[in-house]
Amino acid sequence: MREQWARRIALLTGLLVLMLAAMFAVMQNPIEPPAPPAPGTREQASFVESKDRK
Amino acid sequence: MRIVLSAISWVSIYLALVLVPLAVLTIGEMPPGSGFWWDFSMALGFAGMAMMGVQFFLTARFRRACAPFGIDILYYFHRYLAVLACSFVFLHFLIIRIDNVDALGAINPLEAPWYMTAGRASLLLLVLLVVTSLWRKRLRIPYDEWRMLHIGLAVAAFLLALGHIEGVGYYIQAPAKRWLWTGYTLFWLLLIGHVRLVKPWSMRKRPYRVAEVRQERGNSWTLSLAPDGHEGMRFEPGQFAWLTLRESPWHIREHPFSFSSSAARQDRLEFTIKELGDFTRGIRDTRTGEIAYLDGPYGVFSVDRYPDAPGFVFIAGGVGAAPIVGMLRTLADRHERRPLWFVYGNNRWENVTFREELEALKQRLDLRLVHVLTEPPAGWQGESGFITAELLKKVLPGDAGEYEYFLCGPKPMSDAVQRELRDLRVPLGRIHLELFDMV
Repeated sequence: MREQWARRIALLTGLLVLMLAAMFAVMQNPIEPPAPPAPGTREQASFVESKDRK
Repeated sequence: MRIVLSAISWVSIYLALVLVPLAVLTIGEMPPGSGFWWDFSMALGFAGMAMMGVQFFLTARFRRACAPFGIDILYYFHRYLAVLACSFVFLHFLIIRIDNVDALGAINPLEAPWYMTAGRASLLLLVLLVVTSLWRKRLRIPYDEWRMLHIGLAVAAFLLALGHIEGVGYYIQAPAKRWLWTGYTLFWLLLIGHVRLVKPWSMRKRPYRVAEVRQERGNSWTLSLAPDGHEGMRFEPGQFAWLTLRESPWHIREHPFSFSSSAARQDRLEFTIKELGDFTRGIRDTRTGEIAYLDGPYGVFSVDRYPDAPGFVFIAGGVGAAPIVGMLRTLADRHERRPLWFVYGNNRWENVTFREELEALKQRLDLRLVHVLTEPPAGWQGESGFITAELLKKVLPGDAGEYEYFLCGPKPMSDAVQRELRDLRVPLGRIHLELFDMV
């Protein structure tokens, strides 16, 4: 019984560390939201889109 | 309830110690991110380092920290955590090796910066530490030599890792972080100093003298110690202590043994030891008056932990009977009236340690003694073979699940009996055993 708890807590620690390490890395390297298209590119974008549909 | 609260607070302290470095990283000014994998690897390195530090705490044998769990479990946990710490440090290295090999620089120590060599050396020692501990017996490393090696490797790996972090300086450059990190590492260094210097010094102030060495059946010897200039040691029956014989307590040549004497007598402490290894084979040559030191008592394998139990069932194999006889002697001295069962497995009748005394204890206690022999003599009327569920069903009362069970013996026997008891629907929480043979 005590062995099982020791195993569980060790496993929990491992998972917690991996999770926090990943959180830290994400915090340090935030995923940039895609930049809004610059004015004047909208027509070009819709042109590309309509070409794709064809 | 108090034990549960104490256990929860110690687990919280442990988690805080492991996670503090990750928190320190996020305080104040931080260097810009260098990519997910790079920063993930850095965090793993710091966490691995913290886990290495926690190892010194787990093995420091602080009695308060050991009390709710049992020191055997802390050592068991130490083993798991060491493997995890080593894996995280290895991952830290591996990710950088894959993600940005240039950051590792030259491998040649003559060309590489000292702190990078320190990091590589620390990882190498850590792997060596884990390998020599998990497979000590397979590698045929004697216990005493292994302990010296283990401590040496652990301290060296830790100091080299500290040097690596300080040298690289990444993430700990801000003054506040540097102070916090220095304080944190200083804590671990003071802890190492306490365990290796202060603790042996306090043991030296409480020496014991060998009062008697008595031969027992089954290649075993009882070593009787008397306190020299102090009142002795108060312990719970079933507990154990680390014994240092004929050596200075700083020599780290100590071995754990259960008390086989009654806890009602603290002026004479006895250990019954079977001749199994280098140290135990030397017990027979011990002379009266020789000096000994004890570090203890430790362990939760004791009837005293269950004052409300309706009765106790003891199951032992060979010299595993030592702590159980210690408990029976104590219960007899306390005029215990609750029902007791002792199922005692041995190979031959002439090897049954404490055979005569157990018969005498039956007169003083409500004790049903069941001897089980694997090589019974001709005309043997008792039980023979292994301790199986059928045998336990036959000798134990119908309400077997109500009692507290204490198992002590070789690991294969303990594992097998545990399975048999589960088959008899004995709750896992009622089965108690001490884990000795961990390395």
